[in-house]
Amino acid sequence: MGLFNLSEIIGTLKDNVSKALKVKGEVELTGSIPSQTAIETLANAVTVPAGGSYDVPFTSQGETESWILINIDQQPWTLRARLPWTTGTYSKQNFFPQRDAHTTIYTVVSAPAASILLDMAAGGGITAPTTMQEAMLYSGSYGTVIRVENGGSSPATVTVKVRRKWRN
Amino acid sequence: MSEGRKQQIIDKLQEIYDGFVPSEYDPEPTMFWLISSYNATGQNIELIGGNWVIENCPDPLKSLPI
Repeated sequence: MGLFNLSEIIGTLKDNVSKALKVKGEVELTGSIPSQTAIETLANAVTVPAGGSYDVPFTSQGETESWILINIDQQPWTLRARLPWTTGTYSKQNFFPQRDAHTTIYTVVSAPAASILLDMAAGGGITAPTTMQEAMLYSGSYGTVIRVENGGSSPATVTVKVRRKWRN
Repeated sequence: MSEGRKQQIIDKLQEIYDGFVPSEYDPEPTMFWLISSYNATGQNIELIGGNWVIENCPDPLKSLPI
């Protein structure tokens, strides 16, 4: 029995694989595709009467995360979004952290209240997330309406922004 | 809104802007700060907001950062 030339065999194998893949020369990819972010103003210092609310249409751009940023100068205030599966019901459980009769005001533009939009809402056997780690499992984006409710006794100034993030 | 009332609001907003005092957390005037300050006067009967300022006021008011 004759001996096989291993290097010849490997060389032939490489050539055949290259031909099969139609590779001409070597291809090398280096680096990584960075995440993308974008900030958009949805409501520019609107005035919401005492006991009133302001609705902001929200359009998904396919982002992985939608952070809703709120500046407001009255309290208490509540943040809601229309549920993904209805056209008329608004829930405060679409966000983490929730802003339910929240008593902190956020008047510094560079330090807004930040909540991530969840692509679900607690109820029907689903438990609301209690940690950011849990909330991130439900982060998502969908077309909805975001509602800011002014529970204070004076008109509120409200700015709403969204920070969208697309992860790799 | 009458032109007279519009000018009255513009004058009041300008007065508020001219009285801005920088602070550690607000180093520059913003649209939020301007409208919030105007709301605090109790005179915002029409409930105007930042877009009204952009559409009706001259610089520097209409160019305030949001």
